[in-house]
Amino acid sequence: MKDDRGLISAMVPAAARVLRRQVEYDEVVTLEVERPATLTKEFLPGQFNMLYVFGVGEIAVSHSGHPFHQDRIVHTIRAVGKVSRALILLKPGDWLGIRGPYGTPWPIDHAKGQNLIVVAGGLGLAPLRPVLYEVSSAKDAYRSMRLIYGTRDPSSILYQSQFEGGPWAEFGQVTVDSANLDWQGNVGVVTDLISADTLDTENAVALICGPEVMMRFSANALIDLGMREDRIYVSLERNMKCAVKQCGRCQFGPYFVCRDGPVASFGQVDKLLKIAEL
Amino acid sequence: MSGNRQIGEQYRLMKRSGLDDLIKVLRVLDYRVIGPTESNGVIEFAELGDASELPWGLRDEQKPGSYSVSKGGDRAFEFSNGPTSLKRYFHPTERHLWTVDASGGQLQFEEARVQVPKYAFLGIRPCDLASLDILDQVFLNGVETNRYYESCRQNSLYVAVNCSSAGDLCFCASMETGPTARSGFDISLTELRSSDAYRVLIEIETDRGRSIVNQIDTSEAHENDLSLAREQSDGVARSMGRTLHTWGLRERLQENADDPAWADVAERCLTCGNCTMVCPTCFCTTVEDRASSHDQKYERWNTWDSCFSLDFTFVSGGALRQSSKSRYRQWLTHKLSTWVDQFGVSGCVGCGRCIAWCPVGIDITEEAARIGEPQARA
Repeated sequence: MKDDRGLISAMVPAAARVLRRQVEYDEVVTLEVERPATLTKEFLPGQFNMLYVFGVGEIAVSHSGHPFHQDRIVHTIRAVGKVSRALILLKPGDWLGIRGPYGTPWPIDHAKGQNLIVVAGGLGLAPLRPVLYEVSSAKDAYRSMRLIYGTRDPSSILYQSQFEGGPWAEFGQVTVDSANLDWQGNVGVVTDLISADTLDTENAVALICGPEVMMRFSANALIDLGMREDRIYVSLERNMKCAVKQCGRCQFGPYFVCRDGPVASFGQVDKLLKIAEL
Repeated sequence: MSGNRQIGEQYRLMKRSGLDDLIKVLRVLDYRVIGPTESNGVIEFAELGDASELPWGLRDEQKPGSYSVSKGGDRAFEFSNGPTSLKRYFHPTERHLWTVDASGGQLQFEEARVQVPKYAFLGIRPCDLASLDILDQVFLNGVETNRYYESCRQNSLYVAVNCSSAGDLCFCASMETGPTARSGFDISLTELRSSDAYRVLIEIETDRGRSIVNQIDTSEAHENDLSLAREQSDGVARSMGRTLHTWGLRERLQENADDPAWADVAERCLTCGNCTMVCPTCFCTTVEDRASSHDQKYERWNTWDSCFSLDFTFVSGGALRQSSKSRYRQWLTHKLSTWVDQFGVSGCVGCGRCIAWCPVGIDITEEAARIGEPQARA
């Protein structure tokens, strides 16, 4: 007796239509996509999807939409490789493939009743936006809330309208690596803003996302202020093809980033982050 | 002592003709019989028509970076193993996942319909049998079931062969996967080395195995036959060509990522990935989009990949593992160390293939022994 049933692969995407395309800044675009009915699982902040562009390929991209508005799937994408470059060129009405959500979420519930510290670098703000949306609408649930955001220059401030006069203004601080004289704000790296003067690190939970070196320096700055490394969380990025722990590519020491990550406690990965080319 | 008492129904004896019968019975039962056969100077798994295609009277000589087949002995399973393991049957080198069609304006994804063959594997070494247990953990991992793998695994019948000699590169005794198969088979065969005529001791493990053995010409097995098989097994375990010291290995490899020995092996390693192709447990893959004959369609294929390839770790900004040192370190550390964290067992079964088929003869047992052991270095 031969088995000729159709074998459902975990790797088959659902077709989804682009509803809205917004250019954030140079080569960075936010796509809003209609959620396909077959994607039944709601995403949690920190999780990611696999996005497929017809004939080009598939990549992992973090959710950056509002967790209370699950009818739309939102991703902010920077053009760095051939798939992301094709993704940012999609227009409303175009189709793409989506499967997900995958991975571990930010431990927002763990931070309830405590001081929440969010540190983002560059496009690392995108995977944290769902957290900021959720926290902004339930501020009373946290003792305090701080957002420190560092980016290259004033023209590359992601989600800029949220900061100046927006809902993140009261708890957010922005710093840029360099700026011309028009810029009135902070100049310097994010760790310059991690200080005891502005942050209450007692009973705090910190969420950090950005380049690995930025996450390490930020985490160490928080540890210097007395935080425990198991109360600091980072989000990892590795090459992924399957997102279901079978292609082997996203291994990071003993972890599969697609499954054990992308969000991991700094205590879990601190040693591994120090190993070059792991 | 044992005497020549008859032993339980779990054991039977067969003559050489029994192997002919076995293959005939399996073929009548609609199995595709896969077993070792000599082809182009290599003993490989291939589909067998009858027992004459088994590598009778052939043995292999394996050394680091070298493999050859020569005449010697009169048994079918004198050799240790060839470059192909069973991996490619359960985890094909390439597998069609789905097709996407854009002709209607929108995208339509359709899963590939794949027919899963019904295999009977004849002559599986205990190390290769153990590799399937390891792959089970990967593909039936509780996150997502690889249904091709699962169906192929369920459809297949497993005839193991216990080793009656050890190869120069074998170290299954170190990995506790051989030289005798303990589970995971329907029947196992042991070619008995004795002055008598050719005899094979059959051990029956499953009902399915029993019904097949019932259809072939066998005779009662006795206590002496079983003790001879055990003696052989003990002898093979004692004569392993290689040893891998596994005690503390998991910690030693993970804690010594900066050991200079990694740079030393990297000077020899060509990063060709041969070791990952011949390894019965290396499972890593990539995906490819292939243009279909219709220009509005693409097919997505899952194909074998290797952690030695540069684009394996590509992220924005380039490959994370640029140096050959980092890629060899990933392979060895994963195989012998982080695999244990991930799946609870080592990823190595001690078959020795990666040593024989490495073009520069890098020996996993030697390299593993050098990491974190300064005194081991010259």
